Amino acid sequence: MTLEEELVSKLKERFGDRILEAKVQRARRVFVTVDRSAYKDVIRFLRNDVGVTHVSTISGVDAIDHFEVIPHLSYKGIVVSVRAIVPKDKPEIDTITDVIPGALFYEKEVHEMFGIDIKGHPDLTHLELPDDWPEGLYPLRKDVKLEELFKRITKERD
Amino acid sequence: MSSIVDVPVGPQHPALKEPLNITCYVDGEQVVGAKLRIGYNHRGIEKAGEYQTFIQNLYIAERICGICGIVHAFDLAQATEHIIGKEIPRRADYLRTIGLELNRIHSHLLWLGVAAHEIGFDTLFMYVWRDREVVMDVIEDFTGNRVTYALVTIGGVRRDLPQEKAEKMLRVMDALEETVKKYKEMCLNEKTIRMRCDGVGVLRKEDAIALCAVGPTIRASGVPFDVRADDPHAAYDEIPFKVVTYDTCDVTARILVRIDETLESINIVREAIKRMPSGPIRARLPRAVPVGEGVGRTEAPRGEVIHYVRSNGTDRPFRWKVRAPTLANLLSIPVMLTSKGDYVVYIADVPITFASIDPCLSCTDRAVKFVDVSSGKSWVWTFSQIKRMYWKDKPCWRERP
Repeated sequence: MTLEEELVSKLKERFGDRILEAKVQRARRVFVTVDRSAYKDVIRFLRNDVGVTHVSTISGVDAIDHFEVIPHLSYKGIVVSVRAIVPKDKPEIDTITDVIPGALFYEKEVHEMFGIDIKGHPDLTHLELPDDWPEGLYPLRKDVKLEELFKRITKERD
Repeated sequence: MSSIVDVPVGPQHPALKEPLNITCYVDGEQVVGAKLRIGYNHRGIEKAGEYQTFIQNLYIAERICGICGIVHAFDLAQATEHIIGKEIPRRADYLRTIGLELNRIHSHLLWLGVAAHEIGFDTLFMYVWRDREVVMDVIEDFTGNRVTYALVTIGGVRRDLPQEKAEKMLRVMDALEETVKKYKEMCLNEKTIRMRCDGVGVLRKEDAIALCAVGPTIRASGVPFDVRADDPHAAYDEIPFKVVTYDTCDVTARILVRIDETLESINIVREAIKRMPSGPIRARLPRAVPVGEGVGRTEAPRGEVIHYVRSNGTDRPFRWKVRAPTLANLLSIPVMLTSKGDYVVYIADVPITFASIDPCLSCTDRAVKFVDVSSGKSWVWTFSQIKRMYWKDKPCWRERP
């Protein structure tokens, strides 16, 4: 059994149904989809029991009917992407900064770009967007079109 | 909060990425804390990418960083090829490796020059940049451009390396190795450098791991984290090289890691040219990318770069996420700039400490704000002001605004 398969079976054994999907895409690329309630437990398990210390980044995705928050963790050269499904009517998710402090900036980024509330995050101020950025405008959401973005920024600046 | 913007853009400085505001909390001469504010150059590339085709995005990706452009184009191409699920010709892997390593060599030399400049050793800066120029010429010879190379494409590379160019490259590498060894000697023995860098900007191993630092920053803290070794892509699985680590955790360690890595890179280029198979340099892949997702990852000069790409079956990405290494290393800056116990940070060490993670430095003249914790008074200095204060050996406190 390869290291990737071992990792997947460990996760399945520990979390059962709460792992919605787990697949090895190719060598050193693992994608795992988890229930939002299990998200933090999975990260904690990977950190404390498997020994993952490095989070490369956290990708947010607006998948039209829901959001996805995907931390890409690095374990012995394997990129483990843990996808958490976040419903649009209640866009919030637990922070993982208390498990992996290096996730601080990435969670801020997900928050300001998608408007997903990161529960328990110590500092949800702007990271990349300016301080006078329009309230409630989340640029990477799919319903925010480029023209609208441009119009709102220039209008509110003038 | 006011900030003085003074951005020098010269012919040697194509990169203008991540100007940064550091608020340093000082008590007398000592820095007791620091806070960062980034985003002055946020360009919205990820959003723009959703409106362009994959091929167009390659050229946008290359403009993410003017120093390590090949890295970003490579990552995007790699992620896209993973979604398509086709392997690319082996010769293309080797040519990409040569491109990536040439990027690293010139980036590390550029950084060494900037670091020398930050500690006031401008002679070394001039020498190093002279030699970096030779590498830029080699890159131009190979790709056709000094920056924004347009070398990598989805399915391979766009330019081959003919025999005579490869031979010229080898000759340059031989000459470069000599001079880089000389610089290593200099950095190890020159008292000025050691006095300014030993024990400065310390990032302990456990902090580096906890804060997910990458690249030379984490390797100078004794952690052998190198994507080229852990996750071998391109031709790194067939080329032997050493992962350089030092464990003094200070600026000196970061200088030495980068110099040693430059020497390793020179060897990798040599090996790659020697082992490169003949054959096609590009596979024709479909323009419309099937539904799926992929993660591209490589080791840039500054550390791990990761791209996440999601496709919905069209020729445009549904989502394209980029994480450049400086963002990962920024969290370490406040730790390096915080006096703690025996470890004391002086204002004079702020520029070199900040520079030691190798952020894109063409924009360093962005101001640093100082807050005196005892009086609560705050004022703003540019990096050049700090340097002027200390170089003239004036008691700066008398001149506090």
